Amino acid sequence: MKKYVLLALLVVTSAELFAFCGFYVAKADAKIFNKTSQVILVRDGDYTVVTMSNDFKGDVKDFAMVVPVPVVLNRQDIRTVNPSVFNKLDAYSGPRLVEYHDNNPCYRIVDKEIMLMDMAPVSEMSMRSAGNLEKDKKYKVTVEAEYKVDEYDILILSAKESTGLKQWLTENGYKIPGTAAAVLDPYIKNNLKFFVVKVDADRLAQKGTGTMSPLQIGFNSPKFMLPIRLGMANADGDQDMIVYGLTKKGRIECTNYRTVEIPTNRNVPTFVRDNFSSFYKDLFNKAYKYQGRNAVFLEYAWNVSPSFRGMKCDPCVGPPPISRDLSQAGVYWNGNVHFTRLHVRYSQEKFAQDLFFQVTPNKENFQGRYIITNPARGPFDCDEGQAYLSKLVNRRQNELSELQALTGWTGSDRPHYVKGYQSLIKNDSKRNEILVPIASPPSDGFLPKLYFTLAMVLIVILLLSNSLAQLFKRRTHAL
Amino acid sequence: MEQKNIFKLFKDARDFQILWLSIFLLYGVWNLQWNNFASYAVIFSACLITQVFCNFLLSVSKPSVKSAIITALSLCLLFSANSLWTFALCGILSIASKFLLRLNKKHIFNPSLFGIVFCLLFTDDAWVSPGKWGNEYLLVVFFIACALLVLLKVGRIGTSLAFLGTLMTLEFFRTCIYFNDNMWVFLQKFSSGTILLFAFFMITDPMTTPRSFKGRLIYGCLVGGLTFYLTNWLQAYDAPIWALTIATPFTILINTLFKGARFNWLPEHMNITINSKKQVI
Repeated sequence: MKKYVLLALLVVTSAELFAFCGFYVAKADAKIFNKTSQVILVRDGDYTVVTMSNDFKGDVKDFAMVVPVPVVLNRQDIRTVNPSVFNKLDAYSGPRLVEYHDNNPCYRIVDKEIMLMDMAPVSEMSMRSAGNLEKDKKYKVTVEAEYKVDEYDILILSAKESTGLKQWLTENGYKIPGTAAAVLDPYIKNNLKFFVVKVDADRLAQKGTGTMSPLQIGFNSPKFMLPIRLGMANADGDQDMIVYGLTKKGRIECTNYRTVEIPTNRNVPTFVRDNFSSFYKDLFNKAYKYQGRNAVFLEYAWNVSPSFRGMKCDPCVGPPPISRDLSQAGVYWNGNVHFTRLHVRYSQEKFAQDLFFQVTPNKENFQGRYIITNPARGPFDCDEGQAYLSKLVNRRQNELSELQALTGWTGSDRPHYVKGYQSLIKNDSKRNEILVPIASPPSDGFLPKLYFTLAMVLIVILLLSNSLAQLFKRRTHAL
Repeated sequence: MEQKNIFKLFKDARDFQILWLSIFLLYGVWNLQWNNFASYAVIFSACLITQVFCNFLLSVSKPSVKSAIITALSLCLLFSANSLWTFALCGILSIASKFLLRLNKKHIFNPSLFGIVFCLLFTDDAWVSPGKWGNEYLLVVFFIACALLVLLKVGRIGTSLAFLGTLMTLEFFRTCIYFNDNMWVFLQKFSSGTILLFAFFMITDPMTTPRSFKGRLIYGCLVGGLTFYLTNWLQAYDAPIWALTIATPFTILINTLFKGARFNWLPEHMNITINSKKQVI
């Protein structure tokens, strides 16, 4: 009995602790990925508020959107919000690069530099073109409601059969791809309604800004899901989506796909700062492939309640969302707000089902965070300085291996990253000692996994010892 | 000859269960990023200590460590919480329910089920992650193969097949026939580790399921039907847990309708020494 408890304690103490105090230097926002859509999901009990970003850049006459929704929405359940809400949530929760500075052990020099990221070009979302909408009983399509909300003309349709709905949509100017009909059927049979949107060019012009606002809808339904299948029927290749979840209770997670954490708290080479966006893009690509292309990635999770006095990020990449931002995002209660950022790359092949979510009481904080440590400035003539150089060369070697493990970048275009400091080591034998290549760092939490496995094996052997002994006896007997 | 020896090796079906559940847990740890080791340690400790303590109170000479480990493994595979105290509570309640909630010298609830449901209902800190297994078809095949081995030894395969058969038939008609959706959607629904863990390890628990074969078939169908309803109409993603909880009282009813012999983990002759002192718990 004692043995089990001791083993258990061993596993507990092997968990790593992490302390932090550094500077935020760069962030990777949602715009670095092509074909990215953004959605805010606010959920409490059975009530959901969905906000859909709209960065459509073409002719507004070509814009149309069809979204399956669980209920017929009332006029007061639909509104437009300021597009800045997406930028705020994105900037605040995106993966971040932080930087530390070493002090020179010979002279204490402290320098602090803050660099800003380079922005990747913004991509356009593909949308269907719209024509005039007309009611037609022939297709067994019912217009349940019709609203004008700011620049948008909205129809809520219910249908009896997919071919009718498809024909109705096509006749009314919506380009529905051939494969979409097969996807429409399950939605219709599941009693979902269709939220059909187009833009009135005149009203948009009156608005003055020229850009379309994100649409926000609220409804009461036990279904907590995002219908991605219709979008997939329309698109070729993979699509990225960032989901911002805001709840009273804790994190949101996917119930029909695996929700995994993006690799975080990794020490990477200092040159990552110059190109953090492509670093994160490649990191995500690698993680996505490694997890079998059908996982949902957690990029951020934190309590962001305006009343919450504790730290809301570590470090913060922007000002935390204030009450006004949260209410723009659809939060309709006062009190605790837990913010989850999920990143999903979906394709028809790997995501057969829509995304279903649940709110969990999981309040653990998480952020995608990468660390660079700037070396001290020379000279390093004193003994401590030389010792520091040895450590630095080691560390830089490890950073390169980490970079390769995370993104596949070899760092071969930076030959002086390690050698530059290695050449400063005066003692020949020490310099050569460091030349020995360092093995790539073990993946996240390798040792705890190993301890746990050993503990499990031991428990199983102990429990099955009787049976095993019996087998052993039989064998010796047979011999 | 060698083959025969290996089959004779595990007289106790629980040995098989421990082996397979451990393999699944290690699979999750190495391949699915399950890294909450502190919680696993707490669950194991809580289950074992409670089992030994309760056995001590009832002066049973040989505590049933194996069944406590099976409960602990099931909890590690299914249960999530923020606080380590919730994990401890869940472990303690699971094992304690075996001793406290009894009828006709038999515990009423599946121990891990009771712990999970209690924590879901009465603490604001517990949840179940049905998505955490991913959708790996190879894993599913392996899972079913392993589970069959265990169940064939215990002889409770009927419950599993009745449960899965009912759920699959209903789901097939709904998804593939009525919704006219493709097979992948249907298959993906059944490649969830949670459903399979349930089907093969939880609803087959010989101590808390009906005694007779007919009774178990009815029971399996009942749980399958309930799961289907809860998943598709009430959007309960942890539906099998609730279905099994609701179905548990029916075990008593089914047992009165269809009589059957009481289950013992070990063959009769091996139970004599333990039973002479006190019943096996």
